[in-house]
Amino acid sequence: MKLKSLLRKSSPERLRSIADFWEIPLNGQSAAADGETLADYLYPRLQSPSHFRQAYEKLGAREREWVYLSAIHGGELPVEEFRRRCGFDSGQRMSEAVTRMGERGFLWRERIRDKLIGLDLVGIPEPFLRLIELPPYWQGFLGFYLHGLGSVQLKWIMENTLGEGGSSRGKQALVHYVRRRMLDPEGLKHVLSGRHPTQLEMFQQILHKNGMCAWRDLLEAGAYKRFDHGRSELLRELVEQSGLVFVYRSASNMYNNLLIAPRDVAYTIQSGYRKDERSLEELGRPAQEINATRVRPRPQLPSSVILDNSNNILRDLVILCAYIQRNPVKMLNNGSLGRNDLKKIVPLLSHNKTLKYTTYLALFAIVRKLIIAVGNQWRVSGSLIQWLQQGPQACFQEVYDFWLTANEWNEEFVDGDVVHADNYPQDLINITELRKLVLRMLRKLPSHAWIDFNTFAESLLPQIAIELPGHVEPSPAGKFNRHPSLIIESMLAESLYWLGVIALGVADLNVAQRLGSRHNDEIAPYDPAHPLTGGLVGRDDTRFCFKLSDFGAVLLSRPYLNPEKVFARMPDPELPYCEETLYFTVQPNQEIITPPDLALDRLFRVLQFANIKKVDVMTTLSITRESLRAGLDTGLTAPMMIELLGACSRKELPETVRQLVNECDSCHGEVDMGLAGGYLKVNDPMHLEEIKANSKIAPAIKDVFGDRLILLNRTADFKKIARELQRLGHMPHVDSDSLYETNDGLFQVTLRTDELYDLLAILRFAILMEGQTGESIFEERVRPLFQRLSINAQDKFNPKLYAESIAKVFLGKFEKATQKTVDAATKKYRRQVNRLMTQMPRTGSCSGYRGQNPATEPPDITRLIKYAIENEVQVRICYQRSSGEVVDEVIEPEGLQAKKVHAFCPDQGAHHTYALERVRSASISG
Amino acid sequence: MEKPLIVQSDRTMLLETDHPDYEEARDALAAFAEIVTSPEHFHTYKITPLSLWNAASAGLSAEAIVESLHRFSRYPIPQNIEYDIREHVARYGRLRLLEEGDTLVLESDDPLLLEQLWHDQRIRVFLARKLGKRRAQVQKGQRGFLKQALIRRDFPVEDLAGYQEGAELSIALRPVTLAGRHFSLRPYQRDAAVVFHQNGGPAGGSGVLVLPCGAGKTIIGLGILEAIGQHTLVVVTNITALRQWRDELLDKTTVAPETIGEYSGEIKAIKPITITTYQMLTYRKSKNAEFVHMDLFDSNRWGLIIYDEVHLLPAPVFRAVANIQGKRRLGLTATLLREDGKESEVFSLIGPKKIDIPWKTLERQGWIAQALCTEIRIDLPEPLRHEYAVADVKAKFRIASENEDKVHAVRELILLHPDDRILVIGQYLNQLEKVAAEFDAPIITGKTPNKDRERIYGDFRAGRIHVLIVSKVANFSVDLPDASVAIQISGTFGSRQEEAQRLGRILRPKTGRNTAHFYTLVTRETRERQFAIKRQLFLTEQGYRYRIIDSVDQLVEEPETEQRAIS
Repeated sequence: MKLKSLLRKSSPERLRSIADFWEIPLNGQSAAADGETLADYLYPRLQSPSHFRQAYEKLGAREREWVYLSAIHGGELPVEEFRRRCGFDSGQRMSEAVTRMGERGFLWRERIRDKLIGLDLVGIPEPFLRLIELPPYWQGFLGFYLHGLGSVQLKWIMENTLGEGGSSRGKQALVHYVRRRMLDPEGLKHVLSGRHPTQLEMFQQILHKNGMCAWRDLLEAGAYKRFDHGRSELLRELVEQSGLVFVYRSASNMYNNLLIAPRDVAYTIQSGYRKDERSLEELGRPAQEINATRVRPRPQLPSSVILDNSNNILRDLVILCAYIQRNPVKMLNNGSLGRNDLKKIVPLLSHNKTLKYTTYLALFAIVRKLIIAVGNQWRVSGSLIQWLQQGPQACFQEVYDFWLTANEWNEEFVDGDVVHADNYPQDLINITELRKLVLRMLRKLPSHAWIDFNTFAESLLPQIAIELPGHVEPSPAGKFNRHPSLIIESMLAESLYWLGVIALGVADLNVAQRLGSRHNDEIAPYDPAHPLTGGLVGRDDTRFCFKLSDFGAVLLSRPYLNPEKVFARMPDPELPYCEETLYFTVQPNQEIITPPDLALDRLFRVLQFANIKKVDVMTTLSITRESLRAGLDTGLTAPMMIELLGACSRKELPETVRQLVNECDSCHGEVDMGLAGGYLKVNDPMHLEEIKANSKIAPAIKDVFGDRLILLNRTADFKKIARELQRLGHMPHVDSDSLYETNDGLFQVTLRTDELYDLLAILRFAILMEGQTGESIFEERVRPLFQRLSINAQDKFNPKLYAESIAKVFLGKFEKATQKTVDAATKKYRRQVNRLMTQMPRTGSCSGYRGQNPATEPPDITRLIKYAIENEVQVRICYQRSSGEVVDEVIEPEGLQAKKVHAFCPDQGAHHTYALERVRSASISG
Repeated sequence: MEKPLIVQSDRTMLLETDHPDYEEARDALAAFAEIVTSPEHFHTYKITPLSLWNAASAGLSAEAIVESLHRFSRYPIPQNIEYDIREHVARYGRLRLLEEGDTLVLESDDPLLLEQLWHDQRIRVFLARKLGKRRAQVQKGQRGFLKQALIRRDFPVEDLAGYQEGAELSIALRPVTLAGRHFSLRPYQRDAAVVFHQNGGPAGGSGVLVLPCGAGKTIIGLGILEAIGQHTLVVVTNITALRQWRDELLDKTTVAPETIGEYSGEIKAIKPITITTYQMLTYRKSKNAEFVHMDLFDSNRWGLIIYDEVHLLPAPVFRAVANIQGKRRLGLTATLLREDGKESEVFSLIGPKKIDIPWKTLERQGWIAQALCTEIRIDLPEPLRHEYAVADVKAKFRIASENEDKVHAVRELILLHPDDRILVIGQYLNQLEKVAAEFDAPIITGKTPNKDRERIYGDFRAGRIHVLIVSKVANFSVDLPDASVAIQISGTFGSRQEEAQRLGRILRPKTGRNTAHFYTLVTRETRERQFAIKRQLFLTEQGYRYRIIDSVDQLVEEPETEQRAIS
């Protein structure tokens, strides 16, 4: 519609009311002027962007939609179509609305009287089209392109496509005639049937690629990737003369032109030749609004769920780290966290989270070195607390920055984490560039409006083809490559939702769980038998919509590709995580209620001895005996816990909590379990009695030392024993948290550097000592161990040298210590010798034997006889003969052989042999 | 200033109790949310479809609910909550059940809705024929099942079909009880009875009353019985409660003993007022056999059926209840939350919540006493430690429970409360006997003959004795007199129900300070402590003050603290 002619035809009253609404001041002269003068006065002013914007923003949301609807169809629509698409239930209502809008200068009516077509139109004047910025997802309708064509081209279409002569005079009539024919299902079928097979094939390809395609791609799509002049000509004709394909964006090189099949034409075909009468609302309407505005129960429409993760991701990250701190989490061979561990973490996080989300957080923690692998266990790094203390916005900046730049995570790969995939995924899209593209598109969206994902994807997909050339087309056999629409889905429904940039609206939570992790088979495949169906992304039950969150809107209004600039000043009240609270509430029922903005380091500290109950707006934690034990096992003490709770608690710390902590602390460590040696150590002998009496632990006991130490069998099941001890009310403390028993029966020790040096030094000292004494004290056990532990670090400080020097210090100290003992012993010895010398009688018999007379020791017959033999004395024995008769005899023993005594018997004057065992008693005779 | 309420996306809400706007917010929430736990600082509420329908049935609009959430909410309200509220509230009242002559009619303002239900197989079976676009005739005897089916489809129906009248019964409340005390309904009890009865109109006559323990639910039941004046069936949870109802009826109303029937395992008498238990109703010989006593519902022309502790209504009874939708029915409970989540069945079959009085309100008004809970920890004497160490798990608990040092603590406590009536509650008879001998106090166990029991109770009430020792079994007896101090010397943590009942004993209003003390003696570092933790959690969740001390001396040393707690 031509603005000038519309104005000239209008009554002065109407023009004045327009001027009034647009707040265009009429000076005295023009106020009194006639219609024509007034029209000329208004004509340039109505085209001024500032005036237009001002007036446009005064319109209601619904009224703006009417303007929008006209704009996306090229500025004007037939009255009846306009009524249907805008949802007016009667012509009268619509007339009233249009009249009202007419008085504001926005909607106009016009009648085409042509022998080709007679139509009543409603629409906006042409200049307004330039002033309304159409977001990409509302572009691409047939009317819009037809209005952009020249009369000559329109005539070509009439002749070439519709097979009719262009007998009309006016371009407007031609536009509407062509549009009506093309959008009529029967007419469209007729048009398609008249195309050249190659053209039809090219058109199908465009449809299959979601309605948009690069010129170049169509030419090269044949079996031979050679330039085909005939094909090129046909394509040119298709674009210029068919009315089926238009240039969406022209490039400097024609082959890079982006072609589009009008969206309403595509819809008609893909919906099985149903006329496209979708309203603006249906084109970009979220489930939420469908539900909220409906008046009748429509049970087939599922109720909607809105998911918003603002404020959660940092809390979830802290929870993940706290879990790793408290539980042994294995490192897999590929360097990631075990799936089973991740599965245990998922329910602890904020509601409705997936395994993939947890993987993402874990990846960030690994890359950022918040957690580090020690042996095959993950441990929280010492720098975590510092990292958390820098403030939530600084933390969040890193999380956002990570997503923006990380190649470690790739939305194309269905599992996300590329680094720790078992097979490195090949030929993935340049994901960082794609992220930028998506953000750029999001930036064009109106904030706070719900956008249908399919609509968004439709407009984005062709641009991916242009801006990220070389991306491998996903094939059904392709293991890693996913369809671009699935990549965008993953980016929106996962990454950006996780980061809190957008909020999702889904039909139900099950849908939300599937989004982002779907495979290519969920995209309707290209089917040669039905080439014109399929290709659209997503089925109805998995459709979802999204909108920018408050944070998203602020982020995109700033230099979003440069996180440092986004978070230039901190704290920034416009961004999330601005404030930090230092306090929470501890309830007497051992519940801790923490606000969403609790300082992250405090949250982490509390989580070391409290369990997660729920993460919602508030984080609810609970303190139990088990959680306290876990805390105590990691080295916390009751005073530390009470101090933290006391410092953070908004109210006085409840007595019940204080008591529980103290009680657990006093219980804890009463029984120590040593995994390495397999022992139990108790503080109180009563506990030892109790453990010995327990029927489940007793079989595992190997030995008991004293009243405090129990040695366990090698085969004892420690977990079972620990459980049993817990059941008895104990809190067994596992001796060392740096010692783990692996499945294959090995022990893994974690040592700090200085501890390792000390150990090496001690071993080295042992070796030195052996060398000095020249004795093999350690039976060749120390040297191999020392060899095994020594590492040859060429470029670093060599631990061997360090150990050597400490060992020498040890040796020096040892020598000093032993010297002391020797000196002391010598001193004592000298004193004794001196004393003995002084007590010794200077004269008298010097019998060699001093000490007690062995004869006084009756039981030792053998010694007595030996004595008698040596001293040639007589012995009186009481001897039992073999006949049983007992006799007293005096003998002179001469020799002892085995258990026989040879002796001379003076009474009988003969030598006899006596059995020692039958000598009942013996004494020195005489 | 921050606001007191935090609305979470899983429909729970946390209300900060120390906030100046707390009371206002609490009163607003009570109309459309159920209280789940009430520890000292934050109370947890939950919005359920049922709580919203209850609100809608009380005439509250979605706008009003959302508005009050906005008014008190500290953080932005999660977006789905508002939507859920509108959705559920809008569903109430769109369907009505009316009685027209002999037929029952389901009516809706929305022809499409009725059409949809007509084509829904699970609902269609209960409908006889269509009576125009907005109305359908309900099949005979299917009223309850239809209501159940509709609520499963999330369409609560407003039942305006009225009731069958029962046989008449002459009953009035006594101004002076048989025991000789003045008696009248308290204002809130009278209100509850009026709200329920609605002068006999179709809007009244069915519903659930939610009142805290010790608020006198039975008494309200008596009041309603008087207002309706028809034959009544009372279903209670156990035989003890059965006897309590009987005694209360005899004590406080004019009904003659022969008009009250006990329908239990021992006696099966059907009288104008018959009392039975859920257990009795759900009895059957084998797993697949018929329920033997379920026909009790049809055995008389009942005008009213009272379900005591309605949140415990067992699932098989639902079916029987669905059958008798023509009768007036009253549910009494302290909480509407069921462990099995079948609150909405209660709603559809018994009726909406009619009144909900928080206990703090009653405490403030002085209808129930303020309770102070104290746990006293006592060491295990050295000689017993070895015995404890080597005992098995069960014996351990017993050794800890029977800790002799508890007797000293009891003595100190008795000395501390010279003017109070004191109940000493325990599980083990020989322990109780020792305590009784020690203090020369009477003891009541399950074996004590009724005559002795009544005499002792009489003495206790009259103040001739001030310490009474009762076993765990006797402790459930309902004629147990009120006391202001309870000392629990042994016993496991029972069900929440049991604990609440025990506490109810001492929560009756007291003349004078109106403070009740509940002491628990626990042996330190033993298995007894683990049960004590359960009790502690329960009590703190209910919002009672809970203290832990190491010796009775601490109570004597800190009288000021106690004073503050009382004031």
